[in-house]
Amino acid sequence: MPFPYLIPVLVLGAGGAVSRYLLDAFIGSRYPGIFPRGTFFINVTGSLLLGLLTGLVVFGHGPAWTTDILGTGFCGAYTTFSTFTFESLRLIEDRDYGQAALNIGGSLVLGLAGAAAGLALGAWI
Amino acid sequence: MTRRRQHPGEPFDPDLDPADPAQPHPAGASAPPWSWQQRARPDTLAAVASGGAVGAGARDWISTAWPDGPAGFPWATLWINLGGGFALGLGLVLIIERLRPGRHLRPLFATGFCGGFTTFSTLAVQSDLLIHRGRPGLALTYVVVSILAGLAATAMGVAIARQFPGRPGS
Repeated sequence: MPFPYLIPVLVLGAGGAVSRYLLDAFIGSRYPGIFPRGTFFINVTGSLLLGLLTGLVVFGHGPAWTTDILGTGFCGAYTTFSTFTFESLRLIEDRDYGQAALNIGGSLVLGLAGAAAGLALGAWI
Repeated sequence: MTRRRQHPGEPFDPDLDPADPAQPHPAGASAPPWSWQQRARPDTLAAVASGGAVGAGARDWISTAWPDGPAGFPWATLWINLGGGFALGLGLVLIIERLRPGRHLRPLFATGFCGGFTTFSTLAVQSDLLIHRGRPGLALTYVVVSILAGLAATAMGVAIARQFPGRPGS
């Protein structure tokens, strides 16, 4: 990363992590249950947003710092892979195989579809 | 069918304290009411923010030092996600079942650092770009390996952490 990007990436990384924490708490309070709705929603919406930013840069006329700073900093820290695997593993350990399959399959299908929609939108804009 | 938690001492939601009333309950159990604002304490948010900044910075540094080719396999993100999954499994079980430190280490390390270091959105966008560049097989391999090895890495971290002796009286 170019050195001037370091501070914005750190700040947006902090913002992404706090946004994830608060949104996960909000979703968990409104829709309690064993299915990890918070992380699911966060990963799908974050994929859509990073797709949009990447589409703007790769296929559109967006400046490269859009993905280098906003994408890497915010989207990267907002979405999470480790919590996703931990929660999926816990569903498997608790023998909630249907919920685990729904979490893994649903996150992948909607995450990839969201990213593709974002890429197309970014290219179109 | 009755559902029994295999490890009832551990949180289901790794972002929450095991005693947090917001912890998801097994099907059928009634959860006490709580509000999400109760979790928005400034010191907790500061811990999440600090961990998230360091995690994002470390991810940025690794992916810059180890860039992917134009249609190459995203090795950097794969190793970041596997390493972060292992670290979360290991660290979270150590923190909750063994060390039992104060209430700042978990939001700092688990929610902040591991959550900020690993990324799901980059995995999704990289896979879509591989498909777009005519490498659907590579995209499928990337996704399947990420998921299976990610689950295995997290399980390995959890298993190693459980080898450590517990605190007396716990």
